[in-house]
Amino acid sequence: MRALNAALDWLVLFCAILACVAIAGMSVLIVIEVILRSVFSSTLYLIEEFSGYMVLAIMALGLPYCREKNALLTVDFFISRMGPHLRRRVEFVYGLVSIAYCILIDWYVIQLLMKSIQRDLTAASVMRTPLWIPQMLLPIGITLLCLVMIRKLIIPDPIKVPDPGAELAIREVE
Amino acid sequence: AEWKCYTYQAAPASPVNAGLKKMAEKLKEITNGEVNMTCNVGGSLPIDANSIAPAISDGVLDFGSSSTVSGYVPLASVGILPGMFSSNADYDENGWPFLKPMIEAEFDKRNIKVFGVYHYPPQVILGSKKAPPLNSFSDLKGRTIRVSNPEVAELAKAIGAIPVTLPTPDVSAALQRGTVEYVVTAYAAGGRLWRDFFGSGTQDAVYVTVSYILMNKDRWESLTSEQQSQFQEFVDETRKWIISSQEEDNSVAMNEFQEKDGWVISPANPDSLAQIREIMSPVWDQWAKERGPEAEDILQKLKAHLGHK
Amino acid sequence: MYEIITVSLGMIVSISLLLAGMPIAVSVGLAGVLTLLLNEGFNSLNAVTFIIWGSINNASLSSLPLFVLMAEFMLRSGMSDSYYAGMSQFIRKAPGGLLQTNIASCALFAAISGSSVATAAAIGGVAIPRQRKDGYDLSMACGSIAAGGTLGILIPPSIVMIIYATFSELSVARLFAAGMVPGLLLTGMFMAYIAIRCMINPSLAPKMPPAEKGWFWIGLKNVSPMLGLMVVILGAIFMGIATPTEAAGVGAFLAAVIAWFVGRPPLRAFGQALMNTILISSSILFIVIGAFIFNYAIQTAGITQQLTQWVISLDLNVIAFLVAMLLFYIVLGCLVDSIGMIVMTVPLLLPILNAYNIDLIWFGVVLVVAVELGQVTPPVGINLYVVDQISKAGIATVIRGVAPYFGIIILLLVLLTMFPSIATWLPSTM
Ligand code: NA
Ligand code: NA
Repeated sequence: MRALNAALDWLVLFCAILACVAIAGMSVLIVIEVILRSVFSSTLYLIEEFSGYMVLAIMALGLPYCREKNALLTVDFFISRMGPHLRRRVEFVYGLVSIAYCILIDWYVIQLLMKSIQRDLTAASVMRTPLWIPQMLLPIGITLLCLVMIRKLIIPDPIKVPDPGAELAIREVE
Repeated sequence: AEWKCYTYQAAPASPVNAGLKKMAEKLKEITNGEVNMTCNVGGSLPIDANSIAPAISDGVLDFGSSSTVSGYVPLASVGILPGMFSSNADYDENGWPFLKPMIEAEFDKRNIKVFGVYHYPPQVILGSKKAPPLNSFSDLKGRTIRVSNPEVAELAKAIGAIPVTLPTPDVSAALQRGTVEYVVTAYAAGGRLWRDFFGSGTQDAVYVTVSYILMNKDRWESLTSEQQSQFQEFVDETRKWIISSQEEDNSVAMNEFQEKDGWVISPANPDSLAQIREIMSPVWDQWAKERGPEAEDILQKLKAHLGHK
Repeated sequence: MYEIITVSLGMIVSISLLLAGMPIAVSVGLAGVLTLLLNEGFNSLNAVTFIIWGSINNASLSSLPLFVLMAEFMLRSGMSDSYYAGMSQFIRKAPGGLLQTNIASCALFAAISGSSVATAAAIGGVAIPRQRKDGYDLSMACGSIAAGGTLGILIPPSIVMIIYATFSELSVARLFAAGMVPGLLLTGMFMAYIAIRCMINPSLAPKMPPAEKGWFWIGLKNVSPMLGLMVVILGAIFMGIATPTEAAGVGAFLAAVIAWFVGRPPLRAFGQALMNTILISSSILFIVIGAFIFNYAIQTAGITQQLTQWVISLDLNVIAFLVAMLLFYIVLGCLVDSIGMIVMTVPLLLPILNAYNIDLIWFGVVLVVAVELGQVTPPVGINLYVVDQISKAGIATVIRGVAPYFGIIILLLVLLTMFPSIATWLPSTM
């Protein structure tokens, strides 16, 4: 169990680092493209296509880390006023519903990947990138997201004191 | 039954969307109101243009038209290789009868029924205000040109131009600021959209565009054979109407730009097609080689059929 | 009728889940899934595969993470600190202090970015942490960024205007020109509002430090790295070296380089900047997927068609028609993201606009301003979430800060209707 836990932690972090590499790499590629075009009258042929893949990579690979760090956006001014007991129960229900949604999304991104492999789809671009390569990131990221969510359900975070911003929000609303 | 129709063309008033709407009405009529098809213009559904054919195959969409199928039905793009056909009419007369069985079979394997094709007005080269008007394709040497498909990118490379791929939202800024100097598009399409950034244009088609009118095969088979033949006949008429209306619209646009905006429109150059063919011949072979023996076979046969070297 | 009930149900579910504290991405996405299920049954969910791919594999969205990264580099290298220290020397006497620079910086950045979310992320990422530390009223700071960000689609370049142009077959250049004067006017109105608020209640902005000796040169030295970066990016676009989408990548890269030479931050800070960018971007992009599923459900339900046809059937005069459209867009703007608002309504409206003899360029500007409203209304108001994510202020604080701007944007719409030449004059000179 402990090994599984550690493996999940490692995978989540590894994916987040990959997402960092994707965005940093894209930034460098764009600079290279701009220099190639304006100085050497040449081009990489891939900026438009890869920019789209980068967006996808950041979302898919970043999400599990985002959930792990409790950085998924929520509106918490009701829930943060609940007593710890009630809050824990409510969060358990949210956890279940969110997992259901993510499993649904996971199912459809797996479909997307399987069909692209089966159909041998490629991008209609100069690179003709096989679409399964970028699409593979979606099931990886969303599956990890589901696992992180399930783990949070079993081992919830300790209820933290609301951060100063949230406190301010509550005070001013009252 | 409620059906969904989708296309890549955004302007609701364009002949493509008007034509698809007519087809939806016809379908309703011949099925006595049983099939109610809603037409969605391009961009109104979050399904990208390249996914229209796969979505029809899956039955997520029931009917529609698609022009970017090269990632899904690679062999189909043999018809849009620059230099292969001289004009829309040339494609219809010499290309479609020859390619039809192959393309129908390819789509059929993918659970899609093909009704036929229509064309966009000629894809020409429009130049920004700062770029010199083109007299022949060789003037493009060393110039930046925005291309939106790999086949034309190959042509640009072969000429010695710098093909640039840009997302549509970037094209206006790129033209205005000189990041790109030329764009491959039609007068009635990109010409209208980026009208104030252009100052010149050519009249020679760089390639012939092909849009396929498609239906999910299960839906097709749900129609009676009488309904099928009625609908096929209607689509045939309508696709011809789309082609001619677009060509008319295109020449209206071209004349307007020339007269009102003072664009320099180069006269048609009778040598340009031969020029493209010569440049493209090795690129065609490369195209086929990358796509395997089936593609090599179809290219050889098509070339023999058309009398190209 | 059935579809109006299901879409309303979807909207109620989404708002209740959201208010109850469910992740926003899940609330919005579930509302879409539920609406689809009720309208078309289980098989219709197969569309989700195409929606996810079509919405997220999108080069136009790439400027969001890249501009967030740029802001992170500027923040962690201390570049933004010195920028604001310098700025506060220049604007000592302006009521509202640095809050004014939020609007001005957003307007400047709007000339680089075609998206309101990217504008809010880039400026908010550096401004809010600093202003929070300095003791500015948090909701004022958040509100000014969320609203200032919307200038990104009114001041050219603008992705929303380009999408409108593709439907209406108008010239992009003329639309861009039409947005210029209203964009500057709105900037001025935002700044005037801040000035008035802060004159009435000076506690909203801290007292500025007194002028140091040689303040002008010190100030100039302090603002130059960050201002210089913005000017370089703007220059790269204007000279045709980079396109607007590329500008984001170039900006992030240059910010890293300048950060390295000017701030000399520890290498660790670069890693943190990247990781924080991932946190901010992935949670926003997950909401985008949910929003597109909901968009698709609303679009295929045909409810916008029904509502537009209903409005037409009322046979109103022009002014009543425009008021009806505005109310319609305010409601739609709550549910649908910026691009969705255009694609769902413009194809249906074009023939009616022609029938009413309404200038399409003018209407495009009005529409973009209406989309700006939608960017700052929950439940689908991505600007609000970006600012919340950056500031950690809580969505209530952000909404409270942005609410007055809602009124200002409506005032601009009134002005545009009374004096259409605000929008139509500049393109008419082309
Ligand atoms: Na802008
Ligand atoms: Na909204």
